[in-house]
Amino acid sequence: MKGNAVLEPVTSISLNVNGKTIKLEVPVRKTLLDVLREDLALTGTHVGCEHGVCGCCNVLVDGLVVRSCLSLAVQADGRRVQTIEGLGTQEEPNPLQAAFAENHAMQCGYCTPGMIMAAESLLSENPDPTEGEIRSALSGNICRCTGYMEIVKSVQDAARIKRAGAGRSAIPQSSRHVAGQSYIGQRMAVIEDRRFVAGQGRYVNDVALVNMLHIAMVRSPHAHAKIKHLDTSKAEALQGVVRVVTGEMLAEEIGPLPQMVDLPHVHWYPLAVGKVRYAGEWVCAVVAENRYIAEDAAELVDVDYDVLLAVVDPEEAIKPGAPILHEKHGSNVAYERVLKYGDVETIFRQAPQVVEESYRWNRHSGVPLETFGAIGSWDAGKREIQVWASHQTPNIEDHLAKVLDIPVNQVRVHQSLDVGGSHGVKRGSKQMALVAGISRMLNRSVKFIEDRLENMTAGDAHGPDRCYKVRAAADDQGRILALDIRCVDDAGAYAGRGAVQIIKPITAIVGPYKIGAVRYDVVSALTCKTNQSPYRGFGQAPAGHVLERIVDRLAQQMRIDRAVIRERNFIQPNEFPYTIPTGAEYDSGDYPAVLKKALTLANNDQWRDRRREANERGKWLGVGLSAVIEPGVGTGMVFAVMAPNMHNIDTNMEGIRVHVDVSGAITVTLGFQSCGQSHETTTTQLVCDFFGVSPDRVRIARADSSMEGIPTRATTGNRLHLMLTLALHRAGGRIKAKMSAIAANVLGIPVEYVELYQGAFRDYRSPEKNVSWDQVAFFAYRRDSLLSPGMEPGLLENAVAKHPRGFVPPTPDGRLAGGFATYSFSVHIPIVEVDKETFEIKVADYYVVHDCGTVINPTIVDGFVYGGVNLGIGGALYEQFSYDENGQPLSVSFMDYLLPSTLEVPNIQLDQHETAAPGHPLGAKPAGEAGYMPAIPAIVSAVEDAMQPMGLKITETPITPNILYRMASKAERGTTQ
Amino acid sequence: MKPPVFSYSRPATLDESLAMLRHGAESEVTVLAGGQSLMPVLNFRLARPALLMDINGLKQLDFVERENGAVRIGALTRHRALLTNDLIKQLVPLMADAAAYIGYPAIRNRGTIGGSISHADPAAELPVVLTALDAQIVLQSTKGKRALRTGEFFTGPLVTARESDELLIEVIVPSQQPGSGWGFHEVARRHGDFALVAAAATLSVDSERRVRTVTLALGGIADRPIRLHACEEMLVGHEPLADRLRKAILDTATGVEVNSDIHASADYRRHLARVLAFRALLDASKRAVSASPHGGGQVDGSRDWK
Repeated sequence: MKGNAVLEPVTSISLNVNGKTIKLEVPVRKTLLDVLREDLALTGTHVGCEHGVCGCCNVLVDGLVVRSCLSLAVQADGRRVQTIEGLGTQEEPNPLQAAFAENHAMQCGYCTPGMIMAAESLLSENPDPTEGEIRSALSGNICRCTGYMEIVKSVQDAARIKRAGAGRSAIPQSSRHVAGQSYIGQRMAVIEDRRFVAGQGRYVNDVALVNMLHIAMVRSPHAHAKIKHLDTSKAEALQGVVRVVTGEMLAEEIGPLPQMVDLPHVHWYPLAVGKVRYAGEWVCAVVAENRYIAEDAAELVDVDYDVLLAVVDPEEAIKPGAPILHEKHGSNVAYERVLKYGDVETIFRQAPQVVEESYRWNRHSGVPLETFGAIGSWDAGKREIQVWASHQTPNIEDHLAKVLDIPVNQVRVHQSLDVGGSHGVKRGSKQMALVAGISRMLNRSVKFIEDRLENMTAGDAHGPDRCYKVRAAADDQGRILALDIRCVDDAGAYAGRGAVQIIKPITAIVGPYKIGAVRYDVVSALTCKTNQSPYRGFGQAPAGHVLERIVDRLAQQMRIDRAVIRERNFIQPNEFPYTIPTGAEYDSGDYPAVLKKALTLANNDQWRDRRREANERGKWLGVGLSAVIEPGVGTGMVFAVMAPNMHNIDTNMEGIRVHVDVSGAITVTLGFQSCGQSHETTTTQLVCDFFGVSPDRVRIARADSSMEGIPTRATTGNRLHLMLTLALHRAGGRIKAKMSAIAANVLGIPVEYVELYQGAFRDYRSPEKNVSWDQVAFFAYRRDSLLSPGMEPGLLENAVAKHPRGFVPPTPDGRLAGGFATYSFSVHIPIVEVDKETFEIKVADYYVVHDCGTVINPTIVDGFVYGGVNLGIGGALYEQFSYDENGQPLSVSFMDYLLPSTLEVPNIQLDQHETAAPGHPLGAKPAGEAGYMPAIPAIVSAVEDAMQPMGLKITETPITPNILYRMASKAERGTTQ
Repeated sequence: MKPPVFSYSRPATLDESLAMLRHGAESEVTVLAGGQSLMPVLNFRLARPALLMDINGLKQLDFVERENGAVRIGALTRHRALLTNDLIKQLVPLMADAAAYIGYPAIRNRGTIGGSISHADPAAELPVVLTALDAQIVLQSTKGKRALRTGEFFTGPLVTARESDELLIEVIVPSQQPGSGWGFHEVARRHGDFALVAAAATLSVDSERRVRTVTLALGGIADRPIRLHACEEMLVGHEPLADRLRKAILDTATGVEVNSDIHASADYRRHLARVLAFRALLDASKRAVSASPHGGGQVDGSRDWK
């Protein structure tokens, strides 16, 4: 028996939850949040930050909204608690739930229940709130996916419905579709939203296995130190603790984690082995009966460190003499390369105009409200590891098989969870390998849900972190002739996957402009920070940012209007396909038309008056402008440029399974899980469009990876609008052909005369001769006599689509052959106001014109844009992972890492422009990043415009009032001296 | 981020609570009110009390009463009440104004004034407002009661003069006098965040529109809320014209070490302190002058602060 039992005081309480009185015994320290989720299985209330900032855990207590993470369950004794499950159901939603689903006021659904509870509390006190009152009431609820526009609108709609006296209202069915019209381009209601508004999304933390154990981490307090001695005995003696796993123990169980950069001497493990390389790095994993005890024990682990000098600044890290993180590797350079496309030197020597600037793009990221979580469950009998995780990782089964040293077909990664946002960052190879390894080590199921501290300091989820020096050479008309870009990127302590983001920009390095020559000189530095992770655009955003900023700078230097200089440099619509100097080929676009539309949308004729009016109110008004392209559907070639020996890749496939069952219902199986992109809805639309069936006949399922055999590259690189369409058309085409053949046999006519029309196969020469879809499906399974000779029974087809462009691998000097399949484009025009005294920055208005070709579902695509702008405002003005000079992280909570709320993100005016993609069967283009990527340069451009009276040049993000004040003071001193 | 082990008690009466505090003084009793400051501290495991004494059962501490030219506000009064209670809106509008800046509804529904004041975050709204209002903070123990001015009560960052056997039971706030005005301004990174700097002012004028009384307090710049007495003294007896307000602020050195963090440097905070002090005084002056029976007229409100 274990000796050190901590006396855990418990008490009996009685709660009235959603109208039912429940008596239960709880530890006095257990939060209301955990009791609702764990003891009462009300998992619609979500864990977000556990310090009261994000709002995911909102419930009503005695009718008023409160944070259930900041309330002990015992404090709710005798009180009336209402959770999302108590408001309504999918079948009978309350007006807020119905309105949120109707307006698609969400993406991943993770913030939705908390948001709805806050709104419910508001409407119960104020049935007719103004927009300002709604925004104020929801300002303590963060959404990272779609922002707040549709949320605010939903509350207004629900208030109207409630005032009209309707108690319940229906969630619109997905068949909101005009009969006879194509399903493509329809604002079909989002299928996923129905479960999200009812609190029925199923996220990794909602999965509970029998006898599952829980993990908490012992974190390094030092940024760089040798581990001299580890004593886990006190922790292991605590009652409820099963094992304290050290780095050494885990490294015996599993191999090092795969990295995408060729670094044979940089060994990356989930737990530090011998040395810690950043503050917060996981040193031991405490495995216990519950997370509370695991945290108690983590505090009892004694670690003796030999502290080393920290390496914090990436430019310092690569200088000779800097302390080295990985001694065997010999330096802190993870990767360096000079890629040269054209005679850049000569052009710069001869060009009449040269501009130059340095930029600092500080670390920020997607920071989804659901942290990374993973469950590992080793089945010793079947010799199979099962993993559930909130991930969006391609090839994870290969990686896990490698680290566990087992065949791939012994790895089952479930792909059926809802993921509470990702924005690219939820790769989690470390976390998944950890739970898989520990599960096998202990022969128990183990769960690890990062808490916010573990996530912010060591979740390997930070975005790019770059220092740029950029030069542009131009002719006398402002036409840019060459770019010279030097970039030092801070990869963090291990290269992981994120470090590859430094190469992706070569696929669109000249943006929408005709620039003939480029030098791209890059270094990826290893520093004492958590690893960089892919984040929206895979490294493209900062590159697009500095390009837009240098174009602005050139415009200033030459006194050319910002719109005019862009127009002058644009690739013209008749010049596509257009090959940029790196070898990447753009498929199509109409950049001048989009810019023109945006200027009109933003009322550019009123800017002068608005400036004057703002000035009188004590504000400087600034208008921003950015024009950014978004590559979609990669081939993996950036990996091949970065590490050709490791990644001999020239394509990127995607699989699908189409099953028409004996009743005629269609199940389409995908091989990946989604993190808010509404794939179930768009795939349903594609299926309905392809087969002419109604949405109620279609179900989208997910196959476990490896075991159920749907090859996938997951939701990366804005690829699925194309790859799923291609795969579906292949598999669906075969189904259609088979069903047509059966119908021909039934009708006794040659198959060439059969057409599928509105749910029936008919003889197009005499339409009265027909057989229904359902009958043909039935025959396919039950009537061999109606099958053609040699035809297999059943309607089940797998297809794997290959990337539509034929590629050859990049040349040794880094020249691409081709590029991403397709390129979207958008123009952003924000209007900001800066307070002349306090330097507070407010985004007042925001205009976007977006061209992503044919839009499959405008409601979903609009949400992508709104949400992207939301994150862009964060990256431009608020969000930064700061470190002090000793490598101590300073933004470990949401009190210091600032997420924009309803009061920071304005309404966005959006217009779509459609330039159909020539390479897509439906003309669609990527839509994932056109909100985020252009937002940061646009906002910075606006702030700089606002600060024109003081002549400030903004060269870092985020740009804050503090920085503006510093720059303004300096400028003032400069002029008075 | 789960709270550490502690014992829990919910006394039913004030006497019981005070007895518990006295007997438990040695073994670290922590008072839990709304929990909106304490619970994050516990979840982050920055405190590990042996006993958590939950005072939410002490309904007698949840009151707002008018008494002898003052408003008494019980420690268990929720922030929400500061926005909705008519006595507060009428008699201490400065508090009602400032309360709108505290967090968000979910925080205001639970958070209490006693909790916020006891937590003594130097950038929180209520401490600076109470400082400007010359409020008294009433502490009680089994030995008796004492009332402290904010200058005595707030002794450092998250530190107060409350003894471990004492419970903060109420604050006594002087009612606003006729002919007086108030102003509150703050700059935070986002609405609802703790202020980078907050300024609160009260001001009354005589029949000649000269300043009769004035208070000015700042939060967020030092380790506790501060009063700018020197600035106040420069204004008394003079008409509260914008230029004079500005000059008084400029000539006043705060004499404190100014906070600096990732959101705002000390220089920026000093700058904000001047801007916000001016805005708060200006609002207070305008309100005082227009409320004054002999007043009327306008105060110059140009804002070209440099």
